[in-house]
Amino acid sequence: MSTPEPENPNRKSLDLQRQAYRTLNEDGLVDVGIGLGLSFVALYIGLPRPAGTSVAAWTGLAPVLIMLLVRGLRKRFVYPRIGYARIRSSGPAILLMAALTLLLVAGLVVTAIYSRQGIRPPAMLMPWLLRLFALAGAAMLALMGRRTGFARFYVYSAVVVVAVLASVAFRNTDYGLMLLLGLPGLCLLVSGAVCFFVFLRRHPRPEATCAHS
Amino acid sequence: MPTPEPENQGLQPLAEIDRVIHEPARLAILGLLVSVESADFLFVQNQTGLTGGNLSSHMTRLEEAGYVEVTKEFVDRIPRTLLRATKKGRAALRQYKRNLLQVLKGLPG
Repeated sequence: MSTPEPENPNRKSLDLQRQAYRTLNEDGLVDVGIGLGLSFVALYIGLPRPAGTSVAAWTGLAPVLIMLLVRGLRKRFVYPRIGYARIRSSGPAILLMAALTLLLVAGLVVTAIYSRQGIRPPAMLMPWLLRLFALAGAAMLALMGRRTGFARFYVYSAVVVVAVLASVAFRNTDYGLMLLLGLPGLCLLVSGAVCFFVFLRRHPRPEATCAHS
Repeated sequence: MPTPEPENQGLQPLAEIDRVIHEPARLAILGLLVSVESADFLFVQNQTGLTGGNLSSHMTRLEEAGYVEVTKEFVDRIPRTLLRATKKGRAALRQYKRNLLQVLKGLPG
């Protein structure tokens, strides 16, 4: 009779944390937030831009507004149902966030350097920086899938990779960027909204359950 | 001088088991709080499946032992009770895990 393999003690200790992660990501609001942001930027690229507007200003403002929206929805609908918890960031997540931030800052710095010198940056620089950013985002989504155990994050990650590859095929950079941002954005937005409504049905407000007892 | 019997050495880790943590509800509570940075009462209640009264009494026991700290704060004028595992609580859980693993290793079967 063969002896069973010893269990990895680390796997057991992560179950409680994973369960907490799952609970906190069940509402789909992070997906909605990211999806809104990406869709917004995709629309901004595709639609005729009002004169005098700058992408940097919008991309700086949009995350703040979206974060406020997601926070507000969580306070109103999520915390009264399942409670509130703050999770520690893990090593890989911190590294990925740092990589994402670094890429974003690098893009802004490079753009600023070129504009100070009065010359336009190479046309392909920003799209490629965005693609790198998207791939880092795909890695982040896959990591979230691993932490939470929700398959939908792996699907998002795959959609982002497909969008990056598809955007390379487009000669027209604007259409390529719209696809790069819009496809994952729409996927995240729709999926997140569905998850949110399922969450609301699965977790009625405590007063609603008392009324029926 | 008589040498100590092997059975006595095997029982020592069992005797050292922390009785505060060695209760399923309190183990679940402390295990959860060690896994997160902080959580409110409702979250812990939902995750552990305990009733409010039950959770309260176990939290009091853990707080008296210094394993958990309870802070009350107001967020947008709504009171929130935040629970957090202390350094002592984390160390106690690590030690408990070591002792229990040692005990289980010594069991037959």
